[in-house]
Amino acid sequence: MVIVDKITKTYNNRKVLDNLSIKINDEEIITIIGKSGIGKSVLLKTIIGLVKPEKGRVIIDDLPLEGKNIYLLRKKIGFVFQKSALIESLNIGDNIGLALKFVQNIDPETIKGKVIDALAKVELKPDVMELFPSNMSGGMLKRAAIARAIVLNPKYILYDEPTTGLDPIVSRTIEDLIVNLNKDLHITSVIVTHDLNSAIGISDRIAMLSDGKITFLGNTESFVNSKNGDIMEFRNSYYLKTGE
Amino acid sequence: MNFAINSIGGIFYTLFYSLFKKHNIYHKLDLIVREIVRMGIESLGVVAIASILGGLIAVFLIDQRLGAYIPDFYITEAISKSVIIELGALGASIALVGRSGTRITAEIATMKVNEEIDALKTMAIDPYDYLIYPKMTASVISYPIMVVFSEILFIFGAMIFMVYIKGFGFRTFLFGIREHFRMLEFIQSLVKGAVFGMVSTSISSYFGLNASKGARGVGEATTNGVVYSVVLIFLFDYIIIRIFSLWL
Repeated sequence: MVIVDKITKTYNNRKVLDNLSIKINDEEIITIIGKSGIGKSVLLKTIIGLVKPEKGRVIIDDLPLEGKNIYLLRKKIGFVFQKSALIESLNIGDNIGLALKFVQNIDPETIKGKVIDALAKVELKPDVMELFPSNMSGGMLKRAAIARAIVLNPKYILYDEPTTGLDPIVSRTIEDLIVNLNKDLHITSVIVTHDLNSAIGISDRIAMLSDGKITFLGNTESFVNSKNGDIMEFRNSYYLKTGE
Repeated sequence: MNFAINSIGGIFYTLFYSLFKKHNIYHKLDLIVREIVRMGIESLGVVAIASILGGLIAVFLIDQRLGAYIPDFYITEAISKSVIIELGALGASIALVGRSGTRITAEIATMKVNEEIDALKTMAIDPYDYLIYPKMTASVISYPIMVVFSEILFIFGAMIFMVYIKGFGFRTFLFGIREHFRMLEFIQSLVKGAVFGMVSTSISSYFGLNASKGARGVGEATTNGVVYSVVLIFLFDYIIIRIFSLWL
């Protein structure tokens, strides 16, 4: 379980996260939605210790995310960046196997096997191992980034805007992939997105982030039927924009 | 002023953290070898040209200003001493900062901007361990090698002028170089190379790791990397000269 306990983070005198608390249950898919620039990615990066809050703390599996625990807990967490953030100078095989080599000190043959397994889980063929990130499409990059995140068998995966910039068909396959990983590997997924359809389609619970706080937290049905002002405004703007 | 103080603090943190942290060198041998090749082989051309021209210019100036007052034999001594004590290490290191230091800063800064550094952290990989330590180790090996290479070519440039333009005897020129060679001065130049390499690489890495977002951030980081490297190389040059002056 991940407990975000009363965290506050300020940028340029603006409280992006303001005494925010949320509990994330094991094996659930929870989506955090909100307007662009509201602090969704900051919250996600706080959960993995990339952003240090001024107040509050994050507790993962009863361990506070502090000091040497950060290194230990990161081995349990995979992170999928919005722009994939694969290492440009390494091919896909080396990108996915990087943590196996430097964190788990595994021999090259075993690494190769685990990389091929991870690629299969995201429906990529082994021959992409030789490709470099600059030679791949957005959808393939996202899959490779997910393969990199799952190769260490994490308990949690944090997804930062996993479908942004992808066409609807590829977006759908990425969403299916997230759901399948959750079901097959029992991975807890925390997704940050402003894609409302995606959030409603795949989440067990949805959280609304507004003015540095979680203003709504509930299952998808209660979200769809909610009369919460922030949610109604977000829903109306989203459907107006997408024409649905 | 605050920026300069913070930067110097950060540079020394980068230097000592990378050097004294426990590293698994076996897993990084390929990275170290790759960096040695990139620092050394890729910089051969610029160091060679700068050194040969430097030798020609230095010996020409010495001859022009002092040639009328001192025998040619002492010109050989002057060039030998100045190259081994100062010009070889300084020339090669400045050339390497321009060729290799800028590449390191731009490369790490671009990784920072593209969130690749954050990606390493999320995989529990320490960027200092994975990125900076191999570069630091490679610089301790390649900079002294390039210093020796530069010294040889500096003297070669001087020889071209003395032998082919001034008509000085080749054997006499070589004898002059050998006669005035002192091992401790040569060791001093190697120590300078290693220290300049560590300092320059930690500076380049520090500014790369602390680059702000966007192309402008990469440009600023690269500029700062070169400026601080050159200034601190001169500072460490002075410190090393003072230390070795106790024995020389």
